[in-house]
Amino acid sequence: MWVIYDHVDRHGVNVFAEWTRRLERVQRKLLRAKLDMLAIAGPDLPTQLLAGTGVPHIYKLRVKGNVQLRPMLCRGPVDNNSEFTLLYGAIEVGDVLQPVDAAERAAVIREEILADPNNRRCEHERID
Amino acid sequence: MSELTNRLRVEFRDEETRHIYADDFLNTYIASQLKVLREDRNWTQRQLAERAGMRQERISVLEDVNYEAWSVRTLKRLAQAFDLRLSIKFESFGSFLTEFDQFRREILTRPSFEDDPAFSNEEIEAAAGANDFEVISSQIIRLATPEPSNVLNFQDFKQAQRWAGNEPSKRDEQRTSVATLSAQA
Repeated sequence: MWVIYDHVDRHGVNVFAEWTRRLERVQRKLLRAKLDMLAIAGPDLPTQLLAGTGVPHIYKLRVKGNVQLRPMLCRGPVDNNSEFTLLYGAIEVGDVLQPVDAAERAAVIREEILADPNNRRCEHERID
Repeated sequence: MSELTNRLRVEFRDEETRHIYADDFLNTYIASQLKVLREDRNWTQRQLAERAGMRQERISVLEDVNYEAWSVRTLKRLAQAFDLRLSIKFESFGSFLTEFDQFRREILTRPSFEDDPAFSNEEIEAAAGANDFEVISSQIIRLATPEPSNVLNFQDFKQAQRWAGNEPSKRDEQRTSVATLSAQA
């Protein structure tokens, strides 16, 4: 099993959980199904579940639906062989990320987490 | 069962949740198995496409966990390309938990007919031997039954000789046949 973490901002707020709560109920369930698959099978077996973004270390999770959810995440960043961290909530419209710099923002957050992993991330919160 | 599947056991009481998970898992399972079967055979997407009479781009789409427009016809073509049988069943949600929990590469691999252990020479020989044994058993039972029709004829005598090991057995003859066929193949 892979462990999934959420990004926590400098005020201790689980920003990824906040983003998830704003999604529609079905979208939340679709996202949860994909994240559970990632946790159970890791990154290699479910083909094209993750896609690169062009920004080093940053991937997007591909969730198909009436809204194309593309949460940004990275392996690790503490242990690259057993963890993922959800960094930033984004969607894709016509193959373009919204916000367009979602991957770059995620890369900054990853650096912040690396600098203080104990306080800047928490175990993934399942949102109903 | 993992902590996650135990959690799903509770969450699946919600109908929408369990059907979303089942749909997603089905798509993920087929797409991932296609890729695993292809890689096990050291085939590129193009090679699989040629065997299935499709274009490489189509294989790439089919190997995407988000693809959901499967048709039985397409799956049958792919099964034939891998020399496998296609199995489509309705399943209970209880079996989902086990399948989900055990979802890993080893679970998805399948041997083509040529490498299927059920059709190895050893299995074929054993099957031929079992048939031989059944024939002999039925003969013995028939002979042991006190009925006027159970007269020991020439065939029964030959069979009894084989049973006693005085003649080459049918199994030996079949072994020779299997070996000959393998050599010819």
